[in-house]
Amino acid sequence: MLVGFVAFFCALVLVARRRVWLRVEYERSWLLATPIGAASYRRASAIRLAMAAASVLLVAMVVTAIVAYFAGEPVWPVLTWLSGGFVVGSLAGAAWPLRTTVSRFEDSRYTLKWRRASTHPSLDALARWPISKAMAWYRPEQARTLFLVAALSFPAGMSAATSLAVLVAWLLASYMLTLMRAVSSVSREAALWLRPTVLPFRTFAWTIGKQALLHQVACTVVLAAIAGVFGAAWMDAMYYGALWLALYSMASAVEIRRGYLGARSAGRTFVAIALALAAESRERGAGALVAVAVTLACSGALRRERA
Amino acid sequence: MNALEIRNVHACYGNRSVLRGVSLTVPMGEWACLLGPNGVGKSTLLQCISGHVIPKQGSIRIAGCDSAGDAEGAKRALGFACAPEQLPGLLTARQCVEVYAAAKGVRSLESDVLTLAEELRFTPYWDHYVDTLSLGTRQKLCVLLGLIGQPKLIVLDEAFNGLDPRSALTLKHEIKRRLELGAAVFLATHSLDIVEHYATRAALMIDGRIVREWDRAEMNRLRGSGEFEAALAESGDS
Repeated sequence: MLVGFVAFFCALVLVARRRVWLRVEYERSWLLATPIGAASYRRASAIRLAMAAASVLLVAMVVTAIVAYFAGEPVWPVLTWLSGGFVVGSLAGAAWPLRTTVSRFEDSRYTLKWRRASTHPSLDALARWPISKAMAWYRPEQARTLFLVAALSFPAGMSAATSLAVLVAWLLASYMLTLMRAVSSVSREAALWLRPTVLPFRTFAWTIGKQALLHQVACTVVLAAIAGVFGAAWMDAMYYGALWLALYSMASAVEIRRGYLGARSAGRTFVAIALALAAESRERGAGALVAVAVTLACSGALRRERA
Repeated sequence: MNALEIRNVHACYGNRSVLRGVSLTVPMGEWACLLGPNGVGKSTLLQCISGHVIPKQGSIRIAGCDSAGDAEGAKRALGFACAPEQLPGLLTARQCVEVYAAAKGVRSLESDVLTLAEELRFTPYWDHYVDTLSLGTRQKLCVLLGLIGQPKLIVLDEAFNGLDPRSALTLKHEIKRRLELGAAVFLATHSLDIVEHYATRAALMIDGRIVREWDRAEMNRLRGSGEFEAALAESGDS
């Protein structure tokens, strides 16, 4: 059932956001000046939305089936919940009211301001770039939907302290996921921009990753503390925190490495995460070991590949 | 020593061949212009030089360093002004300069880059985020980044686009000063004014090939005569 709920929420966000992108793309394209009817535009958008949702559902079903198989869980009930939740979520996303205006503000409006009087060579700004990106993506008009979903997830009769803790946990978890995506995006953009320079991969990777990793560690500690305070076993909370950090490091390493090489990364990241989760489902701790091994391999294999 | 030696470079995007055996040499102290209609491969050639595109065949040497065998040496000698859309929107102009200088291994920023920023009237924009800057101001930032680290070869792609006349003149004077110091400039442009009045050599690219080159002596002969435009059109037609 949890799988169905997660699939519902993911599909809702995916389809609703894709609709906004399609609208923005249409409004900025030369097609706006052509006499294309509203019905044709709706049909074309519906086909593109359906194809995008179907491709994501397919990948999610394959990954889930692999994980469920290795975990020894029955595969079909999980897939039924997943596909059911996803389809309902997609329909809800297609019916979700669409904002008609695009944000008028630049992304930089939502970042922290760093001012310096002098100019000297430093990679500090490169390290802060993923944080700025995550904050730009996490702007109020984006975060408010999540805030609403988080607020609606409180069961009736929950105390104020527990509600606040759940809300903080939701916000932290979503920030951590946003930051993970930001690291991936920044690594590609930075690699392209800095290609004509002599910045070595290890410096590049460490600089892009270090501040984001620090934020991930801090958020994980807070989440583990919240879980511990509200009744989870402390060892379990710490263990799952460590597992998340290992998976995050692995995904970031794959993304940064592929970004540095100017190559696509989503497929490899999915495969790496699926492998780690499959190993984890077989034996506790194995997933973290796989994640660490992949992280180390990503930094070691680069020199060979570049050559 | 030549600042740039390109030998038989082929490059393609997927199955589409863009560069088909380009060979070109730019000696130290020369301002070379790369001309040609849109879509013939000028920017692709520049991206091969900068490392953004890996040539399928052929070699590129920058200040004597092979860009494949000694990539670090080649990049140390290279000053590449990226396209304005490649600049990171979430960094300020100052941060861009700081990061780029550090990535190029520069220990302290040269005073001539800061002086040029003042002359280009860029100083008020130091703490502005790139995504709030106009095209011309971003172009100035790209040029400033390309000049960091006293490069022996300065590669510019349409660097005068979007610049106001005063800033364009300032940049031309700065480039001439760099040439006197021994650097070389390789500029892809459509501006015949720059080719006729400033360049010491030029090459015309058509369909991924260099079809005509003008050396210093020919450029001097054609300069100011108005014949260059006709010669260019004639070469392009043939």
